[in-house]
Amino acid sequence: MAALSVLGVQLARAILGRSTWLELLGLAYPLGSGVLTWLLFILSWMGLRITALSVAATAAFALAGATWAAENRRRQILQSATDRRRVIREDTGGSSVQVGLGLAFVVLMLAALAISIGRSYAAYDAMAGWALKGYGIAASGSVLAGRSWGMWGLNYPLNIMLQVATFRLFGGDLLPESKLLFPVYLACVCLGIFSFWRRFRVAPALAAAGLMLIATNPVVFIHATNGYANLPFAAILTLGMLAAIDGVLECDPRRQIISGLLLGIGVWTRPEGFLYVALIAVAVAAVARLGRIGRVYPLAFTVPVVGLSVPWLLFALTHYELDPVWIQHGDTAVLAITNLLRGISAGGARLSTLYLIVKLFLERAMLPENWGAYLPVVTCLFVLSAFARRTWARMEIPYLVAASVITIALPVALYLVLSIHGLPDFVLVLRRDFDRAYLPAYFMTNVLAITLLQSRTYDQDPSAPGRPRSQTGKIARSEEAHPNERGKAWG
Amino acid sequence: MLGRSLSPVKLATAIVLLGVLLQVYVLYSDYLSPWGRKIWDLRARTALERSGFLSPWFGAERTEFLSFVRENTSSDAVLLFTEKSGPYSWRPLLQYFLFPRTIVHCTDASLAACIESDLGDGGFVVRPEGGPQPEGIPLSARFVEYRAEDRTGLYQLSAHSGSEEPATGIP
Repeated sequence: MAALSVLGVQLARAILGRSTWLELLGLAYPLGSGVLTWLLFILSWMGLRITALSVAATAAFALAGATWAAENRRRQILQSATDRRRVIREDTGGSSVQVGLGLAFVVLMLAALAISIGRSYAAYDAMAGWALKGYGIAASGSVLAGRSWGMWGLNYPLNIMLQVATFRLFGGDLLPESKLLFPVYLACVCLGIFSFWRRFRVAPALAAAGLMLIATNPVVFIHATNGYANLPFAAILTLGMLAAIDGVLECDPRRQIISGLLLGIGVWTRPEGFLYVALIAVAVAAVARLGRIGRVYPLAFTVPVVGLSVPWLLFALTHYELDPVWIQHGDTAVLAITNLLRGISAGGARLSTLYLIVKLFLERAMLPENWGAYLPVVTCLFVLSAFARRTWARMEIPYLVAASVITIALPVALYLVLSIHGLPDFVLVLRRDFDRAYLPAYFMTNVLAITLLQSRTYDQDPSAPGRPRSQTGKIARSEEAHPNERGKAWG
Repeated sequence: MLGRSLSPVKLATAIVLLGVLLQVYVLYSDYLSPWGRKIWDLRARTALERSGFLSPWFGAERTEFLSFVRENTSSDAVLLFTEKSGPYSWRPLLQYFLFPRTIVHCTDASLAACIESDLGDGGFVVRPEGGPQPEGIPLSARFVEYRAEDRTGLYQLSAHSGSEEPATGIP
């Protein structure tokens, strides 16, 4: 896990150049693990046997390459006088509230790690899907073994399974230590969100409190410890969306590359990933063009997304199987995608089903034991934002609104499509599964609600990490930037 | 408008902190405390045993039986289950608990045919729920007993297990 995190840090350093340690920590594990498992998948598809030695060699080559690139990048930055003027300072504030909340966050993450390992794999999908396939791949040395072990055949992306396989190969997964990865994704997304808030001048105490609000939510905590892929997927997607927003607003192609990598890893983590990524890409491009806010470098964003997604989608197309047993078990993701076109051509879902989905979610969201204080707090924050200065005029807000709307609408649409299939226990499936499908929306609505209450300008909060010009409402042109930094080559 | 001393940001911070307090209480009372106690009680168990004890479907009895199966079969064994419903009919879960053994399902009615086609020498017919001995078990099969009172255990097929002659006299 440490090696994968170092790989992620070096990749982020190589691409971004300088960054804050908070930002690097947030990106480290999702980026490093996603890139390594993707390399292992490609090599295995080409016929290389997955063993401890081949995994170690692949990781070592990737790490050496990323370190070399990161060092080159560091030297480039040092040679640039303009970059020296743009020293990015990070500051977590230092107030007692923030330090206290930071310590509480660390304690909570340690508790999540202990509970996650202590529970082992005890939920159905975790045992019969994510863990078992990883063990099967480790035992046989090929990703094709995923067909014989557990549910779903080879329909589901293999990012999490290959991570479990790596743990199995190196330590036997006796604890099981692969369960560490789920709380780590939660910690990473929390750090990434906190870093985003600080870059967009959210007050330190509010950002720290928001971090704890996200991490202590019961549904989120359950999914950080139960071994499902939904939380890792939501974390990767959220980090990718935030990097996209930041990169477009800063007119920074390198940050858009990071976003493309993360969103590509999102496609490589869950089957509905490509739907999210396609909609997010369209939304970001539309907001940038129609609102004339920021600048999209199409190649910087699409090359990594396509590079990571297309091999998997080709593999999935050639190895896809629809098993009636999975239909009986209400395999929502596969079913929803399989029936998408059929549902649309059949005339769409009924409005009453939409009402049912919203009603059931609101019922669950109002119970503290499910969604904690999420709905009341976010509602209060939206109301308060009406009193904050220039809230809706800020550049990041249209992007955050678009991302929130997509992440709310997409799971609802997927369940509407699923309802067309006429599952007899649709309400049961909805009660059981909708919460985890809502996780990306949970993160994005929290990010939006708290970013709306940013009230500081750069002058009022010079301690925050630097974001040139993005608060002014104008496009952040790169007059300060080193020529190598800005992406003429990126479209 | 809100007054200068009570800015929206300060009010928002207070609301968020209240939310955090509520969630910490819920998290501790509903999740951390009960899960912590359960996990502490199972701290000496292996990961697979904790999976079974903490999963809603298996529980202590089934988990102990699957541990018995693991202890009495080699890792490359082929195991045949005849259950039509319940956790013992869920192949992915049995694959997880008995990894890396091969799991085969078959109905009691076609047991002889399944033994002929799916089980090689040294394969096992697993009887987790007890009951009368199924028809189709070869004479040469050896019964490895788990619990005498309900005749649960394993039938291990010998080198001549392909015989269609039914077994008699096996306990």
